[in-house]
Amino acid sequence: MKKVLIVDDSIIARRMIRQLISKWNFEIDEAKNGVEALEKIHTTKYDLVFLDLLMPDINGVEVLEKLAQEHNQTKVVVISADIQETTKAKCKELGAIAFLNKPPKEEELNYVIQQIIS
Amino acid sequence: MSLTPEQIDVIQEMINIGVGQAANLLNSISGKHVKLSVPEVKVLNLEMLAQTLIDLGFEKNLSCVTLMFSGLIKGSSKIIFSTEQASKLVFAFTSVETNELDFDEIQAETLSEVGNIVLNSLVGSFANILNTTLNYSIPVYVNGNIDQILSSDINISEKGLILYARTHFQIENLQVEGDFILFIDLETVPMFIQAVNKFLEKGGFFN
Repeated sequence: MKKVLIVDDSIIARRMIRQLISKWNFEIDEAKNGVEALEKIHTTKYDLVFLDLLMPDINGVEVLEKLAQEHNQTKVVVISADIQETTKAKCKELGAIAFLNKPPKEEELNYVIQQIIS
Repeated sequence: MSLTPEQIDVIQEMINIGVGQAANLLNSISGKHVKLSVPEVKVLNLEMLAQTLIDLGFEKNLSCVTLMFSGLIKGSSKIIFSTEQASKLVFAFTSVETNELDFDEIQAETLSEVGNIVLNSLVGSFANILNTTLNYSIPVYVNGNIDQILSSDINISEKGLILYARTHFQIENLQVEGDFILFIDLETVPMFIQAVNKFLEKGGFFN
């Protein structure tokens, strides 16, 4: 079974993503900030990480920076309300493989998962 | 400092675009049409601001999400509902399982996330149009009166002047109404106007 990590400080957002990806039968783990996310990524091998950007303590861009510094190859899909083109470019530069705006559309999310997982 | 009618017109147009994006997202989240009023733009100090909001009926208990931003412009954007309207909205939006939370927590969590999405889109549209990057705070949810809401906003200075812009909206069929309010620190408005002028010189929206 594929393992995914949902990183978002909002419980509502985590639940929403969990529901949207329910048909994939993933083993789902959650983290509510960047610190927790990095701890989990360092100790568990995830097939995919869904990462929010605007979070307390360590934000999503800092998580991507840290992973890039460590040459960590974990696949990260950013799901953020930040619609700025410069933010999208920064995330791609740091290795995010996709950037979806909140609220993510089910078909869009499924398409990205399909591309990555298969 | 005051603004010329032409500058106000440019700012109003930018706000129309940002609020339009935010309303589009509210529409996609709620599945209902969102009706917008024409934005009102003024330059105010804190005292005048509080009075303006009270005159508009904001003296009751309110639910507000604030997203503060800094960069080329500094300020904050808010989505404000009366607490009663906010509850109606939360009932309409909360289809996800939230068994582990009580209603106040669900309300805070839901409004924070909805606020986060629509306010990011409002402010982010400015950044995209002006080809700049703005830094955001974590969204702040406050349930209280207008004084509590204003005092929780560190981007509103007691002494300085701010550019105030308000757009009233109604989510049709849900009978929910609220306001988008944008404050820009007046010290950063000249940079904003300059960037807008540069954008317009390059052909603006029709480029």
